[in-house]
Amino acid sequence: MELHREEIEAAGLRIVALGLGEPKHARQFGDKLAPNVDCLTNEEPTLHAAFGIERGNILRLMAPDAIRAGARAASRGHSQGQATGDAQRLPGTFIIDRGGVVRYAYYGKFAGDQPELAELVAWWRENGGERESAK
Amino acid sequence: MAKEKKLAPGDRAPDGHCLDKSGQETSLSGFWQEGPVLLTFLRHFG
Repeated sequence: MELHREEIEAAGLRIVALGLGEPKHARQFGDKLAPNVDCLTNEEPTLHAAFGIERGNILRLMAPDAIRAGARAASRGHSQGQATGDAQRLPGTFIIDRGGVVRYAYYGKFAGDQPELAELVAWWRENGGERESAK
Repeated sequence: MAKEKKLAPGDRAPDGHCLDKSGQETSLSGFWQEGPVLLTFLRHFG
């Protein structure tokens, strides 16, 4: 996310990351990996559930694609520390417009499954996202 | 394992409270009311 932050923000999108844990965990994560991203936290996965984000079983969390995603993250200098919250919760990414309407929804199928952010930004631009951002 | 209801483009995003890095309570809608948001749900911090 941080790697594409400038491109995402140039397209008029503000990045907000919501994790599970205490504020100190969000602070530690943000300071280390995403210093320019709004990192929010919940101790309970109520918002994760409200957005339809499921818990994964061991097959989805340890799928070959999940292991490859972990290796990619490690190659970029990210390391897995002690997990907080709910490590079985799958990831998810959404674009929400200023009216509170979901414009894009991506549900991770395995641990570390994120949309290709450069393609997502291109999609947002092609679909009038910058006009939306400029309102 | 309970199936959560997935959202699709055009659906209204659920709002709710959460905490920022300093422990202040905030709401998701406060962010998107200022402009479009790329909201990513992390599995966990760690």
